[in-house]
Amino acid sequence: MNRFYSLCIQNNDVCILTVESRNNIFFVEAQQYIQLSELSHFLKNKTSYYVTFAQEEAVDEKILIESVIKNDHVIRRIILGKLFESCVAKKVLFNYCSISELKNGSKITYQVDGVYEDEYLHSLKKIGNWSEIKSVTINKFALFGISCECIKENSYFSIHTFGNKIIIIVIHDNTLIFSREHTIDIDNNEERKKILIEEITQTIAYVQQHFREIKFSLIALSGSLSVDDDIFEHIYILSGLGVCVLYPNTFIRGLKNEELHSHIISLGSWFVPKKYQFYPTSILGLNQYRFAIKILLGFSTAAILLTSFFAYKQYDSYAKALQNHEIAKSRLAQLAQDTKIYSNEELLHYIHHIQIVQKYIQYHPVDSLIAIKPLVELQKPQNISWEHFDEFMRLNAVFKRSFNTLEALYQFEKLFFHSLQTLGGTLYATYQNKTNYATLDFEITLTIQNMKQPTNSKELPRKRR
Amino acid sequence: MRLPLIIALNFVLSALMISYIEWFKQDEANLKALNSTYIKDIEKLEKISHINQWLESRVIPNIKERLCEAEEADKNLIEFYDLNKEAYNLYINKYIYEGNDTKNMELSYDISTHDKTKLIEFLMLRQETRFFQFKELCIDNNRVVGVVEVAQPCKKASYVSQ
Repeated sequence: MNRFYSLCIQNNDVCILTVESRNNIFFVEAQQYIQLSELSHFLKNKTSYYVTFAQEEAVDEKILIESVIKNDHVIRRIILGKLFESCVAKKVLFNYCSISELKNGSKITYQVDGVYEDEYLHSLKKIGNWSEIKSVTINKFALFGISCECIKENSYFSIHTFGNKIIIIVIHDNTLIFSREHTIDIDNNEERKKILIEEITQTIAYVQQHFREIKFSLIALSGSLSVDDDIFEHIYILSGLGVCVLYPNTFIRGLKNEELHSHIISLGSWFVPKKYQFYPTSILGLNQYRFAIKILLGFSTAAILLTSFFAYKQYDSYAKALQNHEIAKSRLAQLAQDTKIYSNEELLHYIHHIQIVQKYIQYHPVDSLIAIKPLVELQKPQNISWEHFDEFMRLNAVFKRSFNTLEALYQFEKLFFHSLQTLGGTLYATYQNKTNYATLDFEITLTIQNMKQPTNSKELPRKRR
Repeated sequence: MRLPLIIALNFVLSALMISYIEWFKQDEANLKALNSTYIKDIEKLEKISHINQWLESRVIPNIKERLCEAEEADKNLIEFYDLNKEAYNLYINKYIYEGNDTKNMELSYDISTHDKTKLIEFLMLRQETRFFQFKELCIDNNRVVGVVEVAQPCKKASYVSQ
């Protein structure tokens, strides 16, 4: 739901409508009339204004410019120059649009609509907060806005009267192609009515003659004119066109029919297209400022959201690391408290003791005898000698056996060497074979030691199949 | 006037958030580095704890059992000799001499191979308070002869036992 204010400034009087829009329906909540001097006080702390002015004189020109010129800045300079040539000496705020039907060879005809800046700003200055102005225009364009909103015909007249003023606009393809504002200063009502009808019919005839290629279908009446049946009838008879009354009550609520017609210009102020709104440079600057502020606000909000999100993610990761740190710290403290740290002297003493133990239990003859157990089971050694000094250990075993047949000797040797190969381990084994194959006497001297020493004996393993 | 303030505030907060992110990142990296040091220390302490357990359950009691005064060590060696000289035909090769934190005595032995029980008993001779270091062992058809060094650990004057 949006609330805004429609301000219709007529000389020193201001008509204010307080409007709320809901789902494209406009509810007029209040209508007030105040003096222009009270306006800034009234608008204090209020936002969103749609402003329309009564300006007797307005710029309404058709200007031909070479079609090759497309740059907006250049076109504006040319238009200003031509307006100056056509004796428009005052400063002008204007908008322009090309009229496609009026293309003239290599030139394009531009419709130029504008207002005189000094008079315009004089009234506008009474509105203190320009940044809240959403639209600002003059009456004929407000009438254009509401007419386009109500009537869906292609080419028609829209005529509005209020007090002694009359506004006639001609609309074709949603473009204002002709306008005329006039004041009738006659007190006699009958005379005034007669002149009003004449004024209207003459204007219609002029427009029909001037725009022969356009077929007008309708005359829309609004304001005080719409309630007078005589005028209605006369216009219909004299123009030969259909006549209707503007009734925007389908989308504007809160005003009676008569009230609607007295506020047609105010109601039209928020339907005015951009091309018929005339912003002084300062308002444009303010609008640009507001636009930039909105962009910056969006950007900064996005930045804060993004950075907050990443900061939260980073914090989460940090919190986990902190938790792990606390766990590790407490575990370390607990371990440091529970773990007894022995002095170097004590540890050296224990190491020394362990070294003594190691020295005395490292070599034992039984360990070496167990190593040759498979051979002992095969043949009991004739003699065994084991010796150990410092780090050196050696076992000598002499295996002797006599055989009756070579086959038996061969088979025994095969078994013996097979068992010899399985000794392995960390011990280093060598043997001297003194077997006498002539007498069939098997004799081998086996030496097992813990380190390799130069010897003439054969080294294990020996492969025998 | 409020919007520019909000925008400025948003940007200031964003900058603050960015600096927070940087701060968190840096602090997290520091914490991780510290954590890895802590974990290494924990591993070391756990290892020390295991070694302590082993020391306390196996090594220290063993040392306490074996360690005795020098004079007591001499007596132990003499007592051992007197008790076993006949059984294993012991003969003193080297009388009591000092080793590395031990008192030692070198003995030669002579056992019949037929008396297997005694032979096995001798080979398996391992007493709780002293060490036997065989230096020689010769087996032939009838006898087992050789040299054995008996070592009795004893306290050094410089070390005070726990």
